[in-house]
Amino acid sequence: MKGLILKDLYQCVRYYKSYLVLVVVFLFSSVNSDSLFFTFYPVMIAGMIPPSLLAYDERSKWDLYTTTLPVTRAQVVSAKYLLGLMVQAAFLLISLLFHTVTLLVKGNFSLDYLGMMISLLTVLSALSSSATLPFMFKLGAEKGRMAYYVMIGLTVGGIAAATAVLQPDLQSDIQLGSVPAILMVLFAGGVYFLSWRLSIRFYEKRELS
Amino acid sequence: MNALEIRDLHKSFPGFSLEGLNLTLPMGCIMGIVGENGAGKSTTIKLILGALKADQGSITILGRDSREDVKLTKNDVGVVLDEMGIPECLNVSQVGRIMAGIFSGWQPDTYDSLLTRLKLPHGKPFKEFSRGMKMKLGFAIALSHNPKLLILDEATSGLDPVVRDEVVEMLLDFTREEDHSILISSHIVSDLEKLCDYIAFLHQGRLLLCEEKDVLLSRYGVVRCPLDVLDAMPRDSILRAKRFSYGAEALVLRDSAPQGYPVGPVTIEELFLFMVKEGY
Repeated sequence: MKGLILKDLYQCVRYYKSYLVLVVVFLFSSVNSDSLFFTFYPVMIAGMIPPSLLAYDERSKWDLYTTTLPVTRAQVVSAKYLLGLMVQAAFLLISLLFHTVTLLVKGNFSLDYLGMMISLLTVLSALSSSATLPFMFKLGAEKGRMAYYVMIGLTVGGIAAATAVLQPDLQSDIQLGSVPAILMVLFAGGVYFLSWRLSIRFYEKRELS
Repeated sequence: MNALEIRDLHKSFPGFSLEGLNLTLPMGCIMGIVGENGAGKSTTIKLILGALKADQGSITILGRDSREDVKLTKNDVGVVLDEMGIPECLNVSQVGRIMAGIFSGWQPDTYDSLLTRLKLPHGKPFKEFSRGMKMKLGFAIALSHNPKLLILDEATSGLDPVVRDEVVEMLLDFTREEDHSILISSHIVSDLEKLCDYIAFLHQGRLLLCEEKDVLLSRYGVVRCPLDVLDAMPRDSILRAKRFSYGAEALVLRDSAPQGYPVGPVTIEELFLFMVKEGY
């Protein structure tokens, strides 16, 4: 499986390094904006990377080629989810570092606020790929992509709703280590795990041609 | 032990079905699967690889059921497909590092020497490779982890004569080891005729015959004669016949060929065409 992840990392460097610039632009934009969109969008991009790589795999026929290699279907799926975790963790870390510095510079650093950010960003990044990958592993990139667009619409709608509902209370009601934050992170982990198992099940049954 | 055994293999799609395929590739031999486009060659290979699921039947690779312990089995199998599924942005050095993390028996020195022998550039991305270079890379990967069985699906199609010659040379080198076997599918029968010990004819999803090449060439012959001579020949001695404006060709079994008619040699390509074309 090491080789599968290495191949994805090579592709990440080749195809997505320009996204880092976009992330930096968005993070700087978030400093002077009340909207959480600029904060959340970079992490959502991270969630898009595994499905996007899967589409590249299908286009280059790597998916068929893996049937010639000593790897199981479960390993092919697991490699994508592992890469997703790595990329999302990296983007999450960049976002959190940036926001920590920003809050410190502004003089309103709050662990409670950071806790809320961790939980929300974790949920967002996990959901964006968790909802898409099982469809893509079952239906292929094209049909799975349609499911992805539906998911993005729902996620963006969810952000808008969450912003409207939570923003006034962000710094007062949600605390680091509080039950809601932990539950959200656990929820994200649970969804990611279920998505992974579902994708394995779908992909093991799929015929590749 | 046989390198490959296929028993009663069935697979149906809308408009096509592979019906009751039985094949045995003895260890140390080369088997060519001949068939027109759509005959079921690639379907058979995808079933062997597990890309497609069989409706019925079993496949044993190097003594192991193909559905069990995929990792162990495929470490001993090298495959070159018609279209190499290497991501376009990768270069051969990156591909080598990736394969080192996939095959337990990966041999970097063998890979490097094959890259040198095949004149494949290290820094060039795969998308800039010609078809010949792509297929050469496929062979370099397939041969760099000490495989015992090579499976080649239309791997020589579309290659120029120079590259094809290099490929044939590599395959002959590979089979110098007595436990090395090759299953190769192609619709270019002349390539298979050069290489193979066994020939299998697939036509519209059915196996027409599977036999040692030398047995086929000694068993069958062609009578070339005028049309009136063909009409005078006993019908039961003719397996197939082609009629032209200037004469006829009749496929016969040499053992039961009609007396008094000169029986000439038949090539594998001619035999295949006789087999798949309707006619008396």
